[in-house]
Amino acid sequence: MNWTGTSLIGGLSLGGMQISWFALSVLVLNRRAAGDSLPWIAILLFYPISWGLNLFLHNRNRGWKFLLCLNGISLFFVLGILMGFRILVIPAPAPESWLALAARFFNPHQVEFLFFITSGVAWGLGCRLALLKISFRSLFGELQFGLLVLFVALFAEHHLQMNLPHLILLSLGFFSFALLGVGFTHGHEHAGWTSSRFLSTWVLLLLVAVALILSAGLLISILVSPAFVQFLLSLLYRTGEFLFGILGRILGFLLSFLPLPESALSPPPPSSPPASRPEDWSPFFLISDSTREILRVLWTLMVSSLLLVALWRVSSQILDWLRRKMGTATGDEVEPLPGAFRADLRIFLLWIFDTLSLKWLFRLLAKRKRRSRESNSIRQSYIRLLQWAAAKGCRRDISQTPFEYLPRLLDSLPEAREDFFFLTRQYVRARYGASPPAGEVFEEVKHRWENIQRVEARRKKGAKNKIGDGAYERNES
Amino acid sequence: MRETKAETGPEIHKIAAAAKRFTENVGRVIVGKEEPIQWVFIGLLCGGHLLIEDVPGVGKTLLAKTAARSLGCTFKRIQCTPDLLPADVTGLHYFNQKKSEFEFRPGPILANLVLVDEINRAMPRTQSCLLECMQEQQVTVDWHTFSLPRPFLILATQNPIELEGTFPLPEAQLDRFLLRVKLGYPSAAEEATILSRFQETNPLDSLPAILEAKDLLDLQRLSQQVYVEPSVRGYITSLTRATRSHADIRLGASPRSSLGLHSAAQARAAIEGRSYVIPDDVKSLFVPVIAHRLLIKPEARMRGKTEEDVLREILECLPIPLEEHV
Repeated sequence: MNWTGTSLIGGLSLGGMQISWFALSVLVLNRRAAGDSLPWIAILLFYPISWGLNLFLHNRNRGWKFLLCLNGISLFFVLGILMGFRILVIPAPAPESWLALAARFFNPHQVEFLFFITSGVAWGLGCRLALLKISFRSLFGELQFGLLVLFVALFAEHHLQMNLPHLILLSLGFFSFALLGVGFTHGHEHAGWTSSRFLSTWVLLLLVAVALILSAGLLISILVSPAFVQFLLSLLYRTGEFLFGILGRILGFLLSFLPLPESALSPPPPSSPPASRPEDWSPFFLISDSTREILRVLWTLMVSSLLLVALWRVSSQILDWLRRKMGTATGDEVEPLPGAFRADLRIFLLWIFDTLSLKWLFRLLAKRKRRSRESNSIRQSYIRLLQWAAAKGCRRDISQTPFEYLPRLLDSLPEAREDFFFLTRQYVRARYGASPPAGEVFEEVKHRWENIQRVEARRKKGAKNKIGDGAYERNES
Repeated sequence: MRETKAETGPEIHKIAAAAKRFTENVGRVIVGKEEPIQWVFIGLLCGGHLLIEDVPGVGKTLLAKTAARSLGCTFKRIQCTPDLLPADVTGLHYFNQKKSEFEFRPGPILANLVLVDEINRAMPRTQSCLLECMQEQQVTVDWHTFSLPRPFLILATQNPIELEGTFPLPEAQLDRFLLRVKLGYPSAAEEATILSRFQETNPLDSLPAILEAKDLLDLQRLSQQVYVEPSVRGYITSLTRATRSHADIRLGASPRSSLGLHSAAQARAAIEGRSYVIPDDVKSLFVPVIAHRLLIKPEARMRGKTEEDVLREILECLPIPLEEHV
């Protein structure tokens, strides 16, 4: 992204939010799993290093493969130095097998492992910040996600009585950055369901959402103590026991109506001695301690992910419900606001599928929904056109229709008059028409969009040459 | 905004072609005023009644007569005066002495096109006899109900300046008019053309009919088939609902007006040669369809606001259905 002017403030706010919730998570891990031996300040330093490096490379228009390789190499290089230093300072106790070493490394209570994981996350977050398009949407998604992490961290802190340092400072920092970033991007974008007369609704919604989540967190932290959980579990157990007891009695009662077979009336056979384990007995399948340790880590990771996803869904549902409620109250349509986190996850999964060469799966799905995809692609092209025009300062008003907006587009780049007209017309047809345009129209739309970009690039180049010629003439004179 | 024939199909292009012929034909008499002429054709396509309102002498009656003459339908005129009685409009049963029985003599309302000139000069009870005709397309005389011929359209004119000896139309009647058409004064060049055109003969005398009643019914049926995307439908309801909660409006638009706006937008899309409605259709017809149905608060009127101003405010405020995240 272009880090100039307004986007810089949005980016810094996003960075501030991320560093706040990430620092809090690292502090919890440090206190709980690493016994205060984790160099958390060093870990946090990975974030600005990664951000700076990726920003530098991204501004030089490097490809994503190059960026990925360089990121991996840089991270391992820095980690290698740190690990090497640690190995040199603290020598290994005794030679071990590679599996045991790996198991020891993958122990969540191992400082090296925690350091590796947390610094990797910090690096990834820095990389994401450099490449992310800063918008109201992304900042709102980050606020939602940050609130979730903050809630989990505060819950853990309260229950385990960890007395974390800088807790209030980090929480306040998170909310300050969140309000600054969200407010600023909203004011800058001046579009969507929060603009103009929806402003008061939006402020109310934000305050209610924050208050609801914080009060719910506080209430749960106060109410849910270990004794309370134990009481609930025992109650559940007793209830189950009672119900099964009743069921057993009913079954016994029913059984008493049936005539018993003769064998059942005969005296029981003499009890046989308990079967002793044969001498050559051996378990069918043995899991070594190292494998068990790795499996345990994987299991913990899976359960934690499930828990996070569940919490995320709950918070999303609450926010969605609130938005719908506010929309119903005002009687207006409310725009959906899918979080940036979900979009990121989708992009990441798509990238994984692409890397694993599973394109055939996409092709198979694409065949089924080809027409609608083409229609969506035309709509996507028009969205890109709107974003491109907005970046040039020619923003569409919320009440302007595509044809009302067309003259402004024509003014911004008169050379591409035909292309603008074609794109607008096809978009209107794809958006409001009953049948989507044909496949060749989509190709034409793509071609026209590329043509607009070419015309603009030519114009920029011409302007630069003019400036260069002017400077040359001035020097000559 | 026009589309090619291949993109929309020949059926919709029948409407576009008919609209072009109608505009050209009416344009032989009426100079300029393309938009009001298009609104009149939209009214014909929707089967909605039209209220032509403006100051005297701008061609209200002439427009109504020209539109009526362009259609090969039965046409009657009612000149409203304070002593006009309901029976003069609907017809009456009279005693035929030769046959010694009561016979029904139909009034001028039993025609395809009825020009109700200076409607606000008729008394309220005479105005009220039009309510049933306009909404239910039938008339009841002495406990006998007669169906009106199809298509049935009322073209009413009224002068908003003169209030002496007039009876303002009730809200229930205003709500039954699909569109209110305002002509406005012609430009200097248009006025010069009017002078030369009407110098020797009246072009209305030689005006041919270009559309038969059956053709008009077919076009109405075609117009109803124009596709309205759900979000555009939502936009229509948002607009009408916004009039009900606006601070300057005492009486907002009715659900009947939503229906009217919906069908008028369909008709406009068909006239433009499109088989689907776009927000431009809705926006361009919002004021003529809704303005006459509203009552704005006295304090807003004191501030110099008109119904049209308030509606334009609503149009500028409400987002149109486009992409969600743009």
